[in-house]
Amino acid sequence: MSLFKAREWWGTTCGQDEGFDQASLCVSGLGSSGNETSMVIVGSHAGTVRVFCPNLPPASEAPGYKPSDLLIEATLPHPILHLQVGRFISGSQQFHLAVLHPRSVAIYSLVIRGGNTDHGDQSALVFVYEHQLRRSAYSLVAGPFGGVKGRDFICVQSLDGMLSFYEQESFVFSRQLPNFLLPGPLIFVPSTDAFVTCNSLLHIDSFRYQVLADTREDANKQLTPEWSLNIGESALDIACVSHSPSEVDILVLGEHNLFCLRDHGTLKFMRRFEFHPRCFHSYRTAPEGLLMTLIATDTGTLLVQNSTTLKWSAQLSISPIAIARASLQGVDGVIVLLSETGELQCCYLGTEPSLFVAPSIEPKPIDYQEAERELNYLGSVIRAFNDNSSVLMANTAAERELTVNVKPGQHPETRGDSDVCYVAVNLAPHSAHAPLTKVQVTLVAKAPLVVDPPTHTIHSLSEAYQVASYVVLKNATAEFVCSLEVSIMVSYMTASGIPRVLHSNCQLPLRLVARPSPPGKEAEIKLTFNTNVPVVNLLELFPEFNVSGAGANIIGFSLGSTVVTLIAAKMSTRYRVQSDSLFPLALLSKQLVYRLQRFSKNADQKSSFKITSSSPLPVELLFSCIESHMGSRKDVSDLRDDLGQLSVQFRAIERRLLTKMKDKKPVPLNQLDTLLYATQNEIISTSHKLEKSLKALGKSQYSLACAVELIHLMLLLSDPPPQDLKTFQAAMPSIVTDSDDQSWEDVTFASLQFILNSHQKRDPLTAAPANEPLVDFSNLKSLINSVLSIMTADSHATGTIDAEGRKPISPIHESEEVEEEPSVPAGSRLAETRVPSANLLQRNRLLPSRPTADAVPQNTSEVESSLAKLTVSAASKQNSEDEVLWI
Amino acid sequence: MDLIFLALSLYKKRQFEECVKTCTELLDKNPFDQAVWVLKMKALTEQLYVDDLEAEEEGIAEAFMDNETIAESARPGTSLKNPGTSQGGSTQGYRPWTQTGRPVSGVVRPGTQTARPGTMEQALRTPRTSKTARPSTSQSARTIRLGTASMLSEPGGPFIQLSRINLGNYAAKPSLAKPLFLYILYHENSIRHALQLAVLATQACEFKDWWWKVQLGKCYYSLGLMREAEQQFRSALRQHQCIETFLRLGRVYIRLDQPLSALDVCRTGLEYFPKEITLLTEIARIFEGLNNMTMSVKYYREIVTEDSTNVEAIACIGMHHFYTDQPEMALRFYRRLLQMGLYNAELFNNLGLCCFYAQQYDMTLSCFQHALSLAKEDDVADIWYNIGLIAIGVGDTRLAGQCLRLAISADSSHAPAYNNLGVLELRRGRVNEARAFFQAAASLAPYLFEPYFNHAALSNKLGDLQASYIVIQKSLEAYPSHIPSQELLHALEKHFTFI
Repeated sequence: MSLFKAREWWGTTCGQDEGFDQASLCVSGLGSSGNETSMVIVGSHAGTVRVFCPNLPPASEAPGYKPSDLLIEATLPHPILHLQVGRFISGSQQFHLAVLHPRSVAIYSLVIRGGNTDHGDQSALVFVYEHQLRRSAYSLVAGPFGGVKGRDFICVQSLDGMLSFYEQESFVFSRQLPNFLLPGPLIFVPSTDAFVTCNSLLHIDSFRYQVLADTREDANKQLTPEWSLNIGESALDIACVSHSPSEVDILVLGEHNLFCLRDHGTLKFMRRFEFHPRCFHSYRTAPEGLLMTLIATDTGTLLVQNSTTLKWSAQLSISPIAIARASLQGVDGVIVLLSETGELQCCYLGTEPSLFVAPSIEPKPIDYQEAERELNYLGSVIRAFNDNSSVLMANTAAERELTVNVKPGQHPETRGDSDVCYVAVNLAPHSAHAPLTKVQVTLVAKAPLVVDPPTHTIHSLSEAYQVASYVVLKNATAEFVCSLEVSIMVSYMTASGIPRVLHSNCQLPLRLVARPSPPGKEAEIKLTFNTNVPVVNLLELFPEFNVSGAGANIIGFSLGSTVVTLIAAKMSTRYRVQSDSLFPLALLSKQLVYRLQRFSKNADQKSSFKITSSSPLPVELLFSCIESHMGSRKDVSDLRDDLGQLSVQFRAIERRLLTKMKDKKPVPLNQLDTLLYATQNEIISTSHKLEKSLKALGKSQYSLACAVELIHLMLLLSDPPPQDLKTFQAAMPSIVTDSDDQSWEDVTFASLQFILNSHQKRDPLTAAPANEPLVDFSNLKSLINSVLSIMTADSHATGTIDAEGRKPISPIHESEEVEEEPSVPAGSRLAETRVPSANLLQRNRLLPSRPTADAVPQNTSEVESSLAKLTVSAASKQNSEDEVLWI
Repeated sequence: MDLIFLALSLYKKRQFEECVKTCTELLDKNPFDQAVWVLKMKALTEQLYVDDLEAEEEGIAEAFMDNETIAESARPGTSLKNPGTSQGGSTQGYRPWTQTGRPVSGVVRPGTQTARPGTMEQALRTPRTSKTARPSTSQSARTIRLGTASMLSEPGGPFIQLSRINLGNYAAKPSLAKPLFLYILYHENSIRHALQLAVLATQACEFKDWWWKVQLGKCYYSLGLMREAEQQFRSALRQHQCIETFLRLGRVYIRLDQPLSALDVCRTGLEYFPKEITLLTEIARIFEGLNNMTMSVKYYREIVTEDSTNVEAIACIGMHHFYTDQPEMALRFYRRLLQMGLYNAELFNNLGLCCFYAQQYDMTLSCFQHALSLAKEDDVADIWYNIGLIAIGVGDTRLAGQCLRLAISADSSHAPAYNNLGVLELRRGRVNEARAFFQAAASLAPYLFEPYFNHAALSNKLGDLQASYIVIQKSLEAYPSHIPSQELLHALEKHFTFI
């Protein structure tokens, strides 16, 4: 991350996959030239040594590499671990190259013979002498040990911590480092004549050469460092920079910090990194004597620091493993970089910022007229969507793309001890060329029927495909089933990325829940239906129940433990459904009506078929269902409160215990443990109770749903205006869902209140807020009564239902319509439907954690100011007594 | 070539996987080679190393099982828990607040985004998704998630069986104990074993090694034993001054909710290590947490003079300028970030806003185009919201409405968008929709005062004085010094007493 970029001046690649290391690069002069002009010497793990003398092209030209820049390339027989340059040959002041191999250290001399012609000079690497090593070598240090003048000695650190010293051609002594486990960086500090290394205790140790040499005889004596500093992390590299003989800095590159030590081992400064450093090089600037450090990071940035202050940072084009500074052709401070793969570069710090230019994202120009037309079109679509008048528009297109065919199995199978019914959904896309993606098929059955598996996902659909699910009765007996409808939703993305949704419905066979049984003679609850056509043979209506015991006029069903009997009158045109229990009546009455209508349609009696009910609405039964539902809800919420209190208590005890445990002196627990156990037991037993009452609540929900369903059916048969019926069904839905803070009763109460208010031509919004829980059952009771009376009064005395114009109304379908229903005034509905959902969402939102580096300022203050402006302008217009005016 | 040398070379080049492979080969040949064993341990540790100072997050259990708190209601300006009380700090009117109830920060850090819910019950009830997860304890959950050994299946079982290891033996060998400790802490993340080893080792070296004291402190810190950790860090600091120790001691005080002590520690650290960036950053963050933006920015400026590429400092200074009505200055800082090569949606979003308020309208839209093209899921809502604001600014309410709806479709719990939609609906005269939007916004974000105020003002206008009275009190709870709210409340009170 930097404004500038290191400019490549000269670059080449050394071999292929030869393996390079921090110690593979050495920048120094060879031969007699000394340190004036640098050569770049690179030795690879594969054993190839290359000596470059880069000829820098003028800065205006492109970075270049000429073959003549490579003075020599020689392949040595062993891998090269480390390179050093020094005066290694006795009696010679020339600089030679020391090469460390795993088992030997060899001295080479570079010989350059001047050419007579234009062919240039000829170079050769001449082997001078070699020391065989007894242990595997790790690194090499060269320097004037012991303060000799004009000569350099060699010290080899082996992998097991043995330092072997060689005074030019002769071996002197070897010494084992103390506290040694893994070899660390080792350097020689000439001013103090000491070796500095990092040991495995994470200390920086300094050993005087004199001490090393003196204690060599006495192997038992522990070698003691001159000084030692605990830096607390292992060092990657150590460097020594001297400014004057008295002022020497030892720089240690740790894994997370850069340390600068004085030569007597005290900390001068340190800097903590926010990155992983790869390698570093430090030096002092010539006249001012500023301590500069070049650090290459693992993100490929080169940092130039003056002690701790960052002076420059530049982006590197390679990720270097070794870095050095060279003076080439009189240019000081050329940065030499070597990467792991052998890329070698000479760079300079370009001062011209390489500004980051964000790529353009607008490849093609906008045709403004076209765009405006599209905008208008989209605007009209959005408006249409908001008005909800043409939701179907999008889906008719969808039907052209995909045909959904649902086939429920007609004969339920028995699996285990329960019956299951097979529902197959056939998907047939119309075009094989544009596959539909993310196809999701969702099947929803009304509780207590459960679909397994409820969703199928197909990633890409290009040909006909079938998915199948089973419908099972779960957690309840068959008598609580109030609807056999399964609704299927198919959602998918078209090839052009437009999401589409298709709905379809199917009826499950009655046999899934009902079985033939001997008809009962008497029953508590009876419902009577009248038609205007002759009675149909019941066996024709229910052909699948054609078993012995059932006659043409009487037929029995058993749902769970309840028996429902269906009787067709012999003389009149009436049917009767009777049972001891209310719940199965809803399902069977619906089935009867549905089948009668279908039958009459088949028999082509279009115009005349009517069906009415002469029984009174089973309002009392509905009330008892509501009462039991409210009761179980109260039980559940009481138990939840108990559980909440108990867990608060539990945590309080835990906290007290924790305090006691943390205390240094052990203190008696004061029976806190007993209390903890007791509370835990209480929690467990309350949870069990809660589970039980949740089951009871489920049951009461089912029964309530059945009762509501029955009311809907009866109302339908009494033929009220269709709009009113729809509104009523929406207000009192037969899908009973209870959220944490809102129950079916609360929603129904608010909706019915709204209907009543609007019927009485009052302002519907003066109703009680919808989101307050209902406490008084009698209020709801009277409300339902009055609304029902309105409904029945509204219905025409002679009104009948046209069998043609009306299909059986499925609850799921209705409720969906209601959600999109524009005619239900949105005010209170909006509040009550949005707010609970918002509640849930808020919990999801509480803890956003963004891994990115920068926050987005959320400028809510702006809203406030715009509001303030609104208020002011409004107030000035209306100049009323209150300044907070809005419209 | 010697395999040990190769392994060492790979370790230096940070190719840890290959290094581990080579070490495993070597250990198969000679299982008792301590050096290789240590090297493998170090490579495994480095592979999963996370700077735990930067990646720290307070867990639920820490927040509520905390018995170190000194005062429930601290004096103004001395606690991080109620930053609103500090003197001279910015208020919600100028700089929006995050859900934590603190001013929005220039940089997202762990801890700046997590809300501090009122009670543990509330925190526990919050559903935890991948986006909103808050660890139940900082020690176990978070570090494991950042990088863990448990995710990497190791053939042939774990490298070291912690339960079988005799820690006493290793504690006596200091050169083995240190890498082993780091391995247990960072790779295995077993604080208990690490603590055991640290206790034994610090005894073995006769309490002379400050490093072990810092490690002990680290263990105590992650176990929530703050006072013990403090003691260890202090003792380590007496022996040897180290940046990390100062930082960790500061963190202990932050956890104890004593920001002033933490500041003292960091300042002492600065005496030893003048201009150290990490210490300066820590101080700036604490001041930001205390809602003392002027001081915070002062320290961020010091950071920038020391390290002019520090992204956090530049972003925070930029944000400070933006919210002190100097968008041109903010623009400079953000532009610098862009030039440095930062290329993400947040930056372009901020640039777009700065351009807009600096009246460089031509750049605004293209910045937002960039932002949208770069936006990831979490930012898209905020960007649409900001575009909506721009649209409100230029008076295109239709565009504004659509942008805000897009914001909500991207993040259905974006409370500010709900609020602004409410205002737009109100302008179109749809009172009921507007009220529903205000209610939704208020229930989503109780820390915002705007939805409450708008709702109250609307109710007041409609004549529902009771509701207005209730809601305006909530508004004042969120932002006590909001003058229009106060005026509305006074008017209502006057009205009620008159009746």
